[in-house]
Amino acid sequence: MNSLSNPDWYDTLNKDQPLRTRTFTKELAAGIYTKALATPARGTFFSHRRRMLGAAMIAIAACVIFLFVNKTGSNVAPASPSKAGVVVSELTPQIRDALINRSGTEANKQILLEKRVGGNLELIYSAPPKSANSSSIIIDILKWTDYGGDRSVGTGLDGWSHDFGFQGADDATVMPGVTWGGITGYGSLAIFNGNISRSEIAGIRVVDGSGKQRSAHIFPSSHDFRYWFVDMDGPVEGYKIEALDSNGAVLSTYSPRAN
Amino acid sequence: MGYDYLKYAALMEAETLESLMREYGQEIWNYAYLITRSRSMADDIAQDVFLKAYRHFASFRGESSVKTWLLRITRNLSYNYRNSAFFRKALLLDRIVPVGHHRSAEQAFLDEEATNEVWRRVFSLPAKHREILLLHARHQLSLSEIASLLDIPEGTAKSRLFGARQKLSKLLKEEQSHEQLI
Repeated sequence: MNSLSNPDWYDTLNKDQPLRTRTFTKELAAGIYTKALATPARGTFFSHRRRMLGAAMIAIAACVIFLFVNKTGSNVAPASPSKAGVVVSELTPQIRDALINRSGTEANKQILLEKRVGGNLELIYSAPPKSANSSSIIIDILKWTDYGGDRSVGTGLDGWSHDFGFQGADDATVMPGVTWGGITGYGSLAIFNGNISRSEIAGIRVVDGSGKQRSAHIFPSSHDFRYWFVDMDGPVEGYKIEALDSNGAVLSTYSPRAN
Repeated sequence: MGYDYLKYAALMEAETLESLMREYGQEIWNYAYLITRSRSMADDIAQDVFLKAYRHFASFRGESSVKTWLLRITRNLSYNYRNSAFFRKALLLDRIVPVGHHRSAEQAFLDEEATNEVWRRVFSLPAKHREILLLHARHQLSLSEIASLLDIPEGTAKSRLFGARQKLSKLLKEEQSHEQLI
């Protein structure tokens, strides 16, 4: 089989699967089976025979799916939720920290807020590690993908990270004491962000043309301003930004279309 | 389970598909993952492999084993996916401005899920070395079978395997001496 002599670690590769968990899951197999039988294999059957065969195959598929679902076996991954459905798994702090922080000895980001958006996005607001001596706010977006169990959140292609810092007041000021840095998009998610420099402003609100309202998340900074962020899922059109006092009264309004 | 009878079959029976998935599903997924290092791609590829095998069964001429035939389909699809993923990544990176470097989800997954240190190190090798080690050490394919699967001369397969083993041995030794220092 092999004229080269095998190194001592060769047996390990032969004996063990590369991964601990079974990743070719019963759900994946059942899905393939159903898809395969939905389209007849290429052949020379007559059409009436194919119809009969199709009906028989569908019946077999149903049985097989039933068997797959009920069969228990060793080394089988936990059942994963449907790809079409909303992933409900919790993002554990360990996995979250592993995904949003640089590997190595650097301290972790300081989590300010975590929220689920649109069913499959995990939005994480954080401040840099204290050692970084930075006053920016970071948003990490992790996209959930159905891999089953609690390891279904991914970065890499699916991940996104962005630093938001202080905005120069000249160009970005849209209302007294409020800057607006524009909208940052990720798929259908729109993130409005800016700074607040006046203490009487207690809140920021974005109201879109359809009347949908979202209040800002406001985070302090180490300087004399605060950050505001509004995340809205879905198309945002004809919007205006409002600065509010502590009673919720509108202090000033900015509408990009009117300016 | 033997699949010799498939050489003489014109169509794949549904039961055969089920049996092939049960027997080779995980190996196919592993091979796809080893090449792409992406779970979502490995899922898609494993699906495409079995659908292709089922729908185009006539292309199996029995010159190799069913397993080798499935591995060949897996390899072709994996490299197609991998290449197209680079385009998607480039497009995505062009649209957003990532800050800093993250440990990717796949790296975190591997750190958690690799069965042992040897496999973890295999995944850190270049794709062509990962692949040849999997085929030779795990699947026990002969050099001629590997050469045929990879569509390279047998001599090239041999030198590639030699290089992969040397590289992995070196990595494992480095790690061992690092651990001893600690």
